[in-house]
Amino acid sequence: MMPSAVETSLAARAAALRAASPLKLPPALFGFLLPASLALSWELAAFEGWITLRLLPPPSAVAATLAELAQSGELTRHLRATLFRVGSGFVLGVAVASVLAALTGTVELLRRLLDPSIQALRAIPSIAWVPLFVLWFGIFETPKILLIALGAFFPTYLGLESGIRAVDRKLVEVGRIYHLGRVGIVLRILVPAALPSWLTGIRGGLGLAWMFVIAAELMGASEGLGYLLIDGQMSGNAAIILGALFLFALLGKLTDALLVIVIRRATAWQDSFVRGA
Amino acid sequence: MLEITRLSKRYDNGTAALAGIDLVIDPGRIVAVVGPSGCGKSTLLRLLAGLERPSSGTIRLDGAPLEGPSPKIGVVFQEPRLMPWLDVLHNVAFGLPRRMPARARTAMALRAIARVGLSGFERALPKELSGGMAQRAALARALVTRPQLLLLDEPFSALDARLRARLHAEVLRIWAEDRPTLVLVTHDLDEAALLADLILVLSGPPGIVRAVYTNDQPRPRDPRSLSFQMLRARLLETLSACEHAAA
Ligand SMILES: Nc1ncnc2c1ncn2[C@@H]1O[C@H](COP(=O)(O)OP(=O)(O)O)[C@@H](O)[C@H]1O
Ligand SMILES: [Mg+2]
Repeated sequence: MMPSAVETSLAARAAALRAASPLKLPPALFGFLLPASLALSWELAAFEGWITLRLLPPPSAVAATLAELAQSGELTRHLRATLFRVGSGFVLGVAVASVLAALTGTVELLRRLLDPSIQALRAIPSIAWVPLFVLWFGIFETPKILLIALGAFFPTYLGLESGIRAVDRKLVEVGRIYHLGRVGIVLRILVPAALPSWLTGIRGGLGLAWMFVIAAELMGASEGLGYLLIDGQMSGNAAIILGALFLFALLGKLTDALLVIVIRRATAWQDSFVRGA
Repeated sequence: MLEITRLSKRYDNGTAALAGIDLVIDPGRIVAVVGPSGCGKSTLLRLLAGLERPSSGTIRLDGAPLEGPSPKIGVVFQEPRLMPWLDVLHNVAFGLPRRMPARARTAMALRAIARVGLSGFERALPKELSGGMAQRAALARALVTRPQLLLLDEPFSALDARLRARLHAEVLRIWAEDRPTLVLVTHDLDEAALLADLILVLSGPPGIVRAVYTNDQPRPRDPRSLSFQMLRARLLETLSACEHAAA
């Protein structure tokens, strides 16, 4: 049966509506919809004088402050300091956690020996280490990087250790049939099989590394985004605080997104319900 | 020659799984092992594979005592047990020694893949394979070293009847190429009568050999033939006697 003229025009209008709807935006842009409209209304509210500019400067003022900092070279210095701390602390924490988890996950004796202590240490909120770290290592880079490493350590350790323990015994048996030794079974079966859980742990570790860099920089620093936060508070400049918060959000989201890309690629073999989940 | 002498297995938890199996298998034979569930069939196969150690007794392959897994032995389990992160090619090559040159590994893996009829799927991941294809890949992995003893533990039991029939024909074709000794655990009496030269009926636990049937009907065998039906009937009778004894 031929569709009637009315039906055809209805269909065309529906299609046009669909094309115009925001759902048509590329998914990456879709996520910007909310922050962009919030920023816009905020800007408008500031323009109309509905908010106290000193406490809540509009996005344009925050942007101007950031631009000023960038021009003087200050911003690069702060960014570099924070990125260096997060980067080295994260790498250190992930490396130590991975080696330890590989050991406790595969050697039963080591697991019984070390795992209870590691789990007990995990129960201490990591910020509580700050006074001791300062006492031991002073207030310069070492305690900061160690604190960040501690933040990245536990999620990574848990991810890899539980991942290894969850590996199907039947796959390990295949390794035995083909003469893999202990190391061969770890490298060719346990590590790849535990990879998704490990990477999820590393992702959690990255999140905590960003959280702890603030804690570390708040405990006294002469540069870094955390220093900017304090600086803004001391000088009563909310634009600097907001600018630093914005940069934290941006960098945190960016590094997480990079890690997610790595995770998707490394775990494409998984037969999961939601792709990349 | 595979020689099994007074082979017994008691697991660490005290379960007696096998109690004195004696058996000699000429090279190149197909042996089917049937018996009620829990009678020790898998235990026997795992002992032959070197995955478990006997509590007493010995297994000799060509006169040499078997201690642990050997490259002369290939194993296919009920589940394909493929590494989900490796494609078919690398799963099959997993069976080859690491120190082999990469080129030779690939060439041998490709040959094994062709032998099981999986050519064209070398790059497929296990999650992209059907049950039958995954089991073929597992068979290719077991065949890639050209083992002289091939152990199959209910390898077709998860597949539907038509696929199973096709794989029977293919296993026979592959077996005819280099004639490994083949030990097949199955609960399918038709499968046993169709494929095997020697059919072992176990009862247990603890597993003992209840009966041994030789089957010298020429291949390909016709399941509708009188001799086939008679063998099948005798198997069924022995098996239900075992089950009654166990119950
Ligand atoms: N790893 C094990 N530990 C303890 N008991 C086992 C183990 N594997 C099998 N058994 C026991 O040994 C007996 C034989 O098991 P199995 O060889 O798997 O039988 P089948 O394959 O014939 O069904 C059963 O009673 C079973 O419960
Ligand atoms: Mg079994």
